[in-house]
Amino acid sequence: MAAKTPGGSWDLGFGFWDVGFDSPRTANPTIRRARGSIERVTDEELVLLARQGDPDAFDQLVVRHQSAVFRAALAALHVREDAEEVAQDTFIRAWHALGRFRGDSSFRTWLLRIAWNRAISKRRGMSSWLRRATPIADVAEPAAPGSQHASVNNAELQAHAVRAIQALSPKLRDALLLVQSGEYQYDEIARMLGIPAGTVKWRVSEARRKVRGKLAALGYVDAK
Amino acid sequence: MSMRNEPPLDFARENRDPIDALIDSAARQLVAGEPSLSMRRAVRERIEHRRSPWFLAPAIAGAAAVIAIAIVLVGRTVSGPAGTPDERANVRPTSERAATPAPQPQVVEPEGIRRVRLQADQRGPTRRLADDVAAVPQEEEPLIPPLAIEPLETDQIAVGNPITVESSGVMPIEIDPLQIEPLRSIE
Repeated sequence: MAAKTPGGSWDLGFGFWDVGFDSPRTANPTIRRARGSIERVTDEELVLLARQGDPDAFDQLVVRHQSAVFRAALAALHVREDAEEVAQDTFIRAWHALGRFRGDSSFRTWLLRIAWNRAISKRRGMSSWLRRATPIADVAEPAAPGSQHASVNNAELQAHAVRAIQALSPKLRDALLLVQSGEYQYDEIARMLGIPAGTVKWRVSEARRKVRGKLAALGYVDAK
Repeated sequence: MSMRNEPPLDFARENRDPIDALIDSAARQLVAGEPSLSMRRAVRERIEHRRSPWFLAPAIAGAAAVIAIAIVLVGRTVSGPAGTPDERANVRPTSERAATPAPQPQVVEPEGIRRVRLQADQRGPTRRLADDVAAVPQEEEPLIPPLAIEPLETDQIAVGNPITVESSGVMPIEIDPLQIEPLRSIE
């Protein structure tokens, strides 16, 4: 059953999203009609509403993009709490900077760029992050000869691979993690990092090659 | 639209190098997870929290103005009207002040003009204009004697001797009159 929210609009079970047919904030009839169905509302329309001071519209943008923003921050920071803090900051900054959003790129790309810049700033200021990224040489132990291919699914090998990835240079690691997060296309990552899409692909390939080399040095796999 | 960079076909995934698949799996492990449910609420609360002072600003400004006016009014009531005690005693209510005409500044009229005006008033209004023009007030002896200025003595300028200018010796230039022929039409 529909319930009236404190803001005077009707909550029809979409969480914070309200249909808002009777909301005086939604003067534009096109947007007012569009608000009836959550799927039909584009990011641009939500941005327009949010610019007019509608927190519900911005909340819907948070719902749509929070996962992408969070994973971008996580790819840069590797720590869940830090990533969540950066994601929050990203949305707050975006809310206050909505007036400066010109629409040259999509809202999502603009948001991800803010998130990435925030995460990189935090990473640069984090002294503890370096302590968390333990070099693979300090923890890895050579595997028994002849067991490389048989133990591909081995949890131990997986752990070594994780450590090898963490020990990569930031540029290679960032590209590999952003691609593997499954949230972004190559061109989105390219815009986020400010590099060509071809460079992103090369970095991902180079990251794999280096991790493979580390694993080979440990005797787990053959180096190609 | 596929937003993910995973291979679109299972065939491609199955035929990938197992080590590459392992590396990709390890990478996904590092970025796995979703934001907590509280994050959305926290964002909304921070937005509302930062917004509220601005939305309250007009109300706060209005309340401040009302308080300031009230303080001024109460202050006047308690301390009474400004000025010396004598001036305050002479202050009348507004209605009374409005009923009586305001005192006009006293204009000091010269004695002669006043006398003429009195005579004109006694004769009546019909001849007043002519009398005002005809009647000249009698001059009274001024307290300060007038200054006597002697006329200046100047030499007379002799007029009637024309100035003769000798010729400069330059022959006048004779200019032939221009001969202008009418324009011929081009055929």
